[in-house]
Amino acid sequence: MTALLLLLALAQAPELTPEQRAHALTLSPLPAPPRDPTNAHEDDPAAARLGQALFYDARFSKNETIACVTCHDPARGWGDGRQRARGLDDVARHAPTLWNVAWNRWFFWDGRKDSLWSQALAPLEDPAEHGGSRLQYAHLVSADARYRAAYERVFGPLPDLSDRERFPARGRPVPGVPEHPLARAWNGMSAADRDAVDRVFANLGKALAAYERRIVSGRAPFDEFVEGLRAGDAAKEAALGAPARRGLALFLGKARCHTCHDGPTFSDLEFHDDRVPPLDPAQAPDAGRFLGIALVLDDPFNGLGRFSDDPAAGRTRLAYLARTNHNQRELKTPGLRNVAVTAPYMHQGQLATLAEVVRFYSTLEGALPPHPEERLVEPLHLGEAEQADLVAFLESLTATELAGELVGPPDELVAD
Amino acid sequence: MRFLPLLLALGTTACAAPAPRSAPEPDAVAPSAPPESESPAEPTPAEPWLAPGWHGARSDDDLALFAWRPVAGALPKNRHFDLEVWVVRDGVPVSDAELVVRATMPEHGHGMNVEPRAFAQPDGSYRVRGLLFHMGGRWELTLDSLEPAHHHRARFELEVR
Repeated sequence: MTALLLLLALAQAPELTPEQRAHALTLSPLPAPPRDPTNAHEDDPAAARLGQALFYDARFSKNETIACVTCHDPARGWGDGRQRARGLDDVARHAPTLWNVAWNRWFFWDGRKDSLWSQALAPLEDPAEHGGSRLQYAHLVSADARYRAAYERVFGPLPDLSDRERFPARGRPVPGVPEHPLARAWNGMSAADRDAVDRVFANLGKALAAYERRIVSGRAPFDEFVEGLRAGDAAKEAALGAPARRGLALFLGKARCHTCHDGPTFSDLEFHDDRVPPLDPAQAPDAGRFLGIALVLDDPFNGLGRFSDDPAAGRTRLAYLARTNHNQRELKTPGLRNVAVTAPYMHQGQLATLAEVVRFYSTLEGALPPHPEERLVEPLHLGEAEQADLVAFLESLTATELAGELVGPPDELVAD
Repeated sequence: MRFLPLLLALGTTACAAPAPRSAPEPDAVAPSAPPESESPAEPTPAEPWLAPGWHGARSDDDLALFAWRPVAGALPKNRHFDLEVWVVRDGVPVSDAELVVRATMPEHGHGMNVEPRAFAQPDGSYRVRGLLFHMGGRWELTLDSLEPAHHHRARFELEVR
């Protein structure tokens, strides 16, 4: 009976073309995360444990109410389920999932960060997110015996911050607002003292990155299907039902999703104008990558900066970046593994369900006009059944199991 | 990958202003030299641009030969890579031109997200750093050699998979 059902299922599924079949093989399995040489501690378990503790600790915010987990909740697909993220205030964009975040080449929707560790620093000081300051966090780590021991085990001795004349309780750069109290405190410090605090701050980011790069999706039905495809194992191929197999054929064919959603994470890791209008129609479209390029090049914590553990590696991404008007409205292509558990979608959560996303790209109803020469996003004209098949395929990329010890704060910060 | 040289009818243009020579590579945080395996041990032939593994085409004005190959041996999809390039006119390498390398995806209406830079090498070739074909599909690679009195261009059509 099982064999009969299997045969029936396969009979209803379309054959992939040889080209599509070859392409499908490149999408699975998900390999090990790529190395980030700018973070020498990324694979240090002690750094990851420290980062895990930081991730769940709301003391790392202005008023001790916001932690990384506030917007990146494992129970909500490592996002927050909201359209726009909300920390201490509303954030302009949707909180992206952390699933497979280590594969990203750029971070934030506009790519204004070029490493996971550098990305982790920005929300800690963003007034709408954690709203704190690097001086506050350095003092916190220094004063907490558990954090101090964990930090020093990974990164070496903390600087002596006990002189509050030299190291005020709170302070950070506030670009363009030198009269801001936090800026005044920061600018009143010597360059050497600021550098010492910056280094602690950067190291906290490296610990957070060491934790976050372990948030890796598991073996999805699609992966089992590809295993079957590779081995000629029909039983494994049946891990994808007929609708999902039809959806895969569309993904790699008529719907052209693979054009941007390519590779084992289903992202080209770069930027495109998705033509989705802003949540608030009165709002100007997001400038996206156009501003992101300027910001990442100007970032003291970028891969070329003095806190990078390998500036030559950081150079690869930054030295040849182009910035043109074409970058206006471009936003980062999200990966699609576990996409079924990370609603809502797009950079402001404008689309509530995968069905809505597929419908949008099928009709482009309400879409922003394209760039003058851009021909990437055009109506797909998919029928209702085709749209449902595409959603079925996207759901087949779901594998949310993760080692239990990675969820929640760690029991111990420093292993015996 | 398939490489289909395109011979497009663009005539030679004389440049009024002198074009700067492609700069030597900066010493600071310079990318490391290619691994040993990327450099064949056998002696360099007298005309290396004619060796197997090079992709060559005449310039649009038919006055120069452009030859290139990826340093790492294959054109990668969505990974940064470098090219080695020769520009040869009358059998002699053009070693002091400004070499500009760009690529576009004609069907998409966009190009690369990077601006590669060419660095003149002591042997008369160029090392072009920082290319990235971030999407699969058809790309058109354009190489321009700019000198005070010459502008040669060659185009190559590539299928990146």
